[in-house]
Amino acid sequence: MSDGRGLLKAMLLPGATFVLFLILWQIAVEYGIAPITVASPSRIAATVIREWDILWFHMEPTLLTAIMGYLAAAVTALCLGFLVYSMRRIESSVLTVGAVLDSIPIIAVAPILIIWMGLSLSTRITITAVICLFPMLISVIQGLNTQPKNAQELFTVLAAGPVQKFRLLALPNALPYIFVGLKIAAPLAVLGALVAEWTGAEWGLGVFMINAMFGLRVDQLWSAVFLACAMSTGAYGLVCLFEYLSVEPGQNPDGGKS
Amino acid sequence: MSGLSVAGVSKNFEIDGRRFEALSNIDLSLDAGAFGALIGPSGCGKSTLLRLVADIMAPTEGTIAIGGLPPSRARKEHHIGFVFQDPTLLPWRTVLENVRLPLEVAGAKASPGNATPLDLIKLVGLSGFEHAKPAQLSGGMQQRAAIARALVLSPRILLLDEPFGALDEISRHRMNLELLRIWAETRTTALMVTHSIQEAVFMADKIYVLAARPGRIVDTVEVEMERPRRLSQMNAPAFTSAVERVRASLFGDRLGMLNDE
Repeated sequence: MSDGRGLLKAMLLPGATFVLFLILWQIAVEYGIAPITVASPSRIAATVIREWDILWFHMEPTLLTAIMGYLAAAVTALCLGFLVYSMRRIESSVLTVGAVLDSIPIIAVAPILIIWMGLSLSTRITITAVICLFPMLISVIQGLNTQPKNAQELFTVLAAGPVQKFRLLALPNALPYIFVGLKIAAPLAVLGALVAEWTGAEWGLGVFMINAMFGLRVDQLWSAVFLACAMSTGAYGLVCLFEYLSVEPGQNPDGGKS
Repeated sequence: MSGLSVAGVSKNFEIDGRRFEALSNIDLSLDAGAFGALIGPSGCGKSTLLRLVADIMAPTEGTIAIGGLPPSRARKEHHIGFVFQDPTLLPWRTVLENVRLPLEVAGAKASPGNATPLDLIKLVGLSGFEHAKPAQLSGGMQQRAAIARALVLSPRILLLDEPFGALDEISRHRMNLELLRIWAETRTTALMVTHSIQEAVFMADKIYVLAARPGRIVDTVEVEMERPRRLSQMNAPAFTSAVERVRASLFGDRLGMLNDE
């Protein structure tokens, strides 16, 4: 692991690139190089501050939808993963169904679910969960089934029962894999919530975006986009933090040689 | 009392529909508290034999008894300690938590023997590293922790599968001396797989020399050297003659042919 200074150094270049990008963007807008439909970073910031109350009013249900959908997908993926772990024969069936579900564009899934379940929070949560599920499922299944042979033999010699093998070996060993899926799914949850709101909701950042678009309120549209980005990166960062706290760096049960 | 007895044991594998005889008619017996070594070329089935004793696999034919118990019962009653070639520590657990793992699995509140996990960590020379993670330790230290883990339930038999094969020669000598000291303190029967003739002779009371295809015992060599063993004994006539005999059994007269050329 890199220490604090190493981390700072590692963030210097991307950070500087980002700042440079913002400056160029600001200049492009100020000097009329960019089209008038593009808001400058300073105006986006000003709008976010000025209209924070209304933005937060719309952001709250989006956050709720994203978090609930994400958690529902995580619980489903863990349950299905455990099922596949205990019955290896169903692995290909579960993955096939998952892949087919995942291959339907989310924008096509949404109307089907709405007709089926009506326009409600639970429909939006389901849409979000559907888009999050597949990457989580794959990582859970792969993680639970990737156990080093030696560690399995160790648990055999120790006469460990199936529950002990799962709790003490398979699950902690799978954590690094599971977190890959959780990280991929984190920004997807925000995307899912926004798409779900586009297809029908009374409040939400998605609704706010659509309204801003039809009203040609450029500053508001851009500030909503900015907040959506912040939510996605924030969600990703939060999952990374959980990973940092719960996974041993260089985790490798085959003797920890890595 | 018999520590380990293996009688008429064979093990067949099926590879691509073809039967392959890994071990053929193995007979072996160790007194309780004795140290045995298995030596032979790669593919002679010595690791397989160790896994049959540990009940990780079942023999095709023959019987095995550990202190009078069949391997399945010995395993379920936690009488078997196994040290793998890799330390196989769980990287998310500290040294102490790794050493305590067998107790947790067995549901035992305290160690059945007299030695607690902390005593064993001291015994293997890891005091001060109780709360270190495996990745923070050297290979030799990791293997010490693995030995402590194998001993925590006071097993009747300690099985070692080339435990120091990954270490350099200097560390290996040191670890072998340590292992003998630990073994002498715990008074458990031990069976070690090794590639090294010197190591086998230095450690064991009894050496079983195996040949490959099919895996079979071609010679049994008893080592008459006093314990505790010291590195200086490696110059003693008893040591040299035992090494010569194991070498002759391993290479037969092919060694002579090589010398003639």
